Amino acid sequence: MAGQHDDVARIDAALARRIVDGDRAAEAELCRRMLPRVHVWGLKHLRDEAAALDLGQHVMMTVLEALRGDRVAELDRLGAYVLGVCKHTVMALRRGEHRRSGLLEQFGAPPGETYIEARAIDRRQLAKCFDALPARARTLLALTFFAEAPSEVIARELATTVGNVRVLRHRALSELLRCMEACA
Amino acid sequence: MIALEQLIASALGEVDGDEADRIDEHVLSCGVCAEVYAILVRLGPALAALVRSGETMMPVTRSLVDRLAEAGLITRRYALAPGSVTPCAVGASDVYTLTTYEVDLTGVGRLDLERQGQRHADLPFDADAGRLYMLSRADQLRALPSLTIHLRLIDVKSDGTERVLGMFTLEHTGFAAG
Repeated sequence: MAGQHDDVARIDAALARRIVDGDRAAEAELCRRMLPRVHVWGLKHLRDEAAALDLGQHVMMTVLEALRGDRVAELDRLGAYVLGVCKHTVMALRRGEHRRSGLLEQFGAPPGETYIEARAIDRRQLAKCFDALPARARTLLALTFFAEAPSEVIARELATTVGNVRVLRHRALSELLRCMEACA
Repeated sequence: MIALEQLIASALGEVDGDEADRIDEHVLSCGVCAEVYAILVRLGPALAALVRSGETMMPVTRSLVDRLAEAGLITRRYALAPGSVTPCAVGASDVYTLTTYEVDLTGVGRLDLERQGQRHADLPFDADAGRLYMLSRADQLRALPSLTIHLRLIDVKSDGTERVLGMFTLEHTGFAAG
């Protein structure tokens, strides 16, 4: 994974340099590569697919404008710069400074193919993998994500410690992920 | 390289400050990690939806029973005492059936349920109340013919020895559509 990450960062940086030099084709390519990652970041922080899509578009336009103006100091650490823009944008969104229509009017859509295929989780596959988990793990995940029970309640009901709840939850999610990757 | 463990912790909101930023920066710079992270971030809502859809079966706890009942998902309940024979059925609009086993669970470490010879191991239970709650999918129950279901609750000791805590019988009447 480390090698792949280095390659990705290197390609991102090379594209960023081309954008600084005025290469419009590189803009579309950088958007195609980076928008899904920004979308995922937004999904985690905003918990809303539509808002995450808006965030992605706004962030990419801001990043492109900064690159065009040669205002990004460390192109080799583009991820750090994008993170800063993401955080700033979310703060602005939470202050109500941006609205979807306003964003698109102000910035337009990023260039190139910006459609993100929402990789929804296959429910049948999830059900199969969930049912394959040990009984206690299924209960724990249902308590966590369906009942949204605090760890203290889960620990008490499963006769264990809060620390162990965390360990068991990580283990259950790892198993679930492995199963779903194997099914994919 | 970033460990799956760290991605999970981040997706669950268990990290903050510099550590959270470090993971976020990595995800924004790594397509492979972003793909894994995307699944993790979506798993929670997907699991909640799976439970809501009535498409899973599992042992449940008191608070989970309460939450399921609030959501209107427990549409049929049976309480079984050791030695009991209980008639049961399932309706067209049922979502989940809750079966509560009422038995003395004092001193029990690991509790297994044997259903028609199939073992469900290490189930969470309420020792104080002396109860095991099991949730069954109504769609699977609707597929059953009329039959007698034999169940046994077993206390499994740390040395591997076993003690039967109770035997239960369900007389299931098959679902007749229409």
